[in-house]
Amino acid sequence: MPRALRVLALLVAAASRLPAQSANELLQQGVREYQKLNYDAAVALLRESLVRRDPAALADSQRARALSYLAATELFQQQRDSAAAAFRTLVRLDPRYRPDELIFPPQVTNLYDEVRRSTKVLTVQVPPVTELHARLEWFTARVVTTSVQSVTATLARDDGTPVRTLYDGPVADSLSLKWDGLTAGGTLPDEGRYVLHVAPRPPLEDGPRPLQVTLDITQVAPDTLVWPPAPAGPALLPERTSATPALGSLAAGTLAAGAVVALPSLFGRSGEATGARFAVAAAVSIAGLVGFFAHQPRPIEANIRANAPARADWQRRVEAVKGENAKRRGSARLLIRAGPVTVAERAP
Amino acid sequence: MRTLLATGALAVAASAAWAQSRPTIGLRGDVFMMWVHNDTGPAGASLRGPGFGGEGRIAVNGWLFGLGLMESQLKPAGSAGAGSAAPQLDFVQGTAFVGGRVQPWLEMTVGPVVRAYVTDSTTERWVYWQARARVDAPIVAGQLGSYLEVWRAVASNVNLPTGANRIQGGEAGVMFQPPRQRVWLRLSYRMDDALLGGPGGTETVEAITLSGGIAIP
Repeated sequence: MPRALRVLALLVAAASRLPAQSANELLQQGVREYQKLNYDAAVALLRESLVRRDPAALADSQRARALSYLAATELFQQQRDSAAAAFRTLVRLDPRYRPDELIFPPQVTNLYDEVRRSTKVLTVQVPPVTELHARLEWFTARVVTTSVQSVTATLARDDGTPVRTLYDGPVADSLSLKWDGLTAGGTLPDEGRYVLHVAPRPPLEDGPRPLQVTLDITQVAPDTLVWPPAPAGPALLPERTSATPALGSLAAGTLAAGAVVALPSLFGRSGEATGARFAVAAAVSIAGLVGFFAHQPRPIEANIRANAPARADWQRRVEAVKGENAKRRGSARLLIRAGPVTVAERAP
Repeated sequence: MRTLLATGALAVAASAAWAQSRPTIGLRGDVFMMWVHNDTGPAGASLRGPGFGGEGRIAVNGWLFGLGLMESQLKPAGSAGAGSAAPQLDFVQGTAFVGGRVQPWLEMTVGPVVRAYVTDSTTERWVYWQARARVDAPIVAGQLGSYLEVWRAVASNVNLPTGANRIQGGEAGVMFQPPRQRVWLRLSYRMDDALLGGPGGTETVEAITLSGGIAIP
């Protein structure tokens, strides 16, 4: 009876201070009650610490600690099912977590191991931001399971288009899932949103659910080389004739024909003259047209041949720069921003 | 007489030039149709007729010397011809010139011209000194070209009571030289207008000329 009163008093006291107390303080109090073997009070405080929501909620590491003490307390109170439930929650929270064997006796850690083996959990841990050189560096995600199970990890576009299967095989405890930043075709992925999908295989009704992480991928463009300037000017002989002679010929014919027509007006007093001069003017005009068409720009084969080595050399340099730029673009850096891990709604 | 003196001077100059460097000689033959319009009398007259002519020139040491001749038999032209009182006449013109090519495209010459209209009873004679400028414009280099030539008399005399006033004219045409040939052909139109003194009127000469020539290096 005194114990019940003590618990009641503690809870009343705690309740009166609850608004001002953080989940961490509740956890510390619960741990102290556990150490004093006041299990009822400890259970109450620990549970209270676990139900606190933001901004006073426990961090995941502290939540795991609270669950460990809660499970141990329940076990010592002969509440094995409740202890197993707490450990199950702990396993789902962090499959890699292990109760400290220096703090908890073997009967507690043994129960934890038993629960962990029977609880099939699959988690994925992804760094929030990764920047890598494709082909040379890796994007790494960690897949953790609590028991041996086969897993398929695939990368797909946001619309479900498969990009690459990253892993397909068993995972005993954890796996470093590595991606070199290339698609199945060996090329860089286009910029955009992708989904990393990790699913147990085969899917079981009571097994872990598939998980997915959105990856926003952007390419950090590398510096590329400028193409060498095309040979021109003094380095090359002209390869086409100029259009100026054609216009000059036309002008010469036109002006001379105009002179034929205008001579009587220019030098005669009356301006009267024979119309036969128009025939001469026509002939002169035709000559101008002949010259115009004869001087149309055309290739100068000899100069083209003379320029060929310079052009070939420039082409070689261009090809070299193209190759270097392609190599640089091929090893472009990728910036990968990962979203939260969520339960997959559909298969990719 | 002055014409003869001038021609003689040209010949002397040419012979002197010959001694200095290898000259270039050009010869040209012309056939033409000529029109002459004359309003010097109480009633104007128009005559026309075919003619022929020629020119020889020699270029040496940048100097150019030449002699030319035109001759035509003219008859009254068109509807006025049959009933016209204009007599048939002969046209004769001799030219001598000296000058040079001051630019590759510009040739300038000066020299005396003697022109005569000869009928059975009279001869109208013009004597004048004429300055000429000729511009060559190639259309297809070495094969086809056009040219324009203008002239004006700097001193003139005519055996008419009214005397001579100004004489000026021009010529333009096209010249064709077959590739790698020394010969060439030319089609041209020329117009020459002589103004008599006082109320004397004008005499206008037109001609369409087809020429053939050869250059002798």
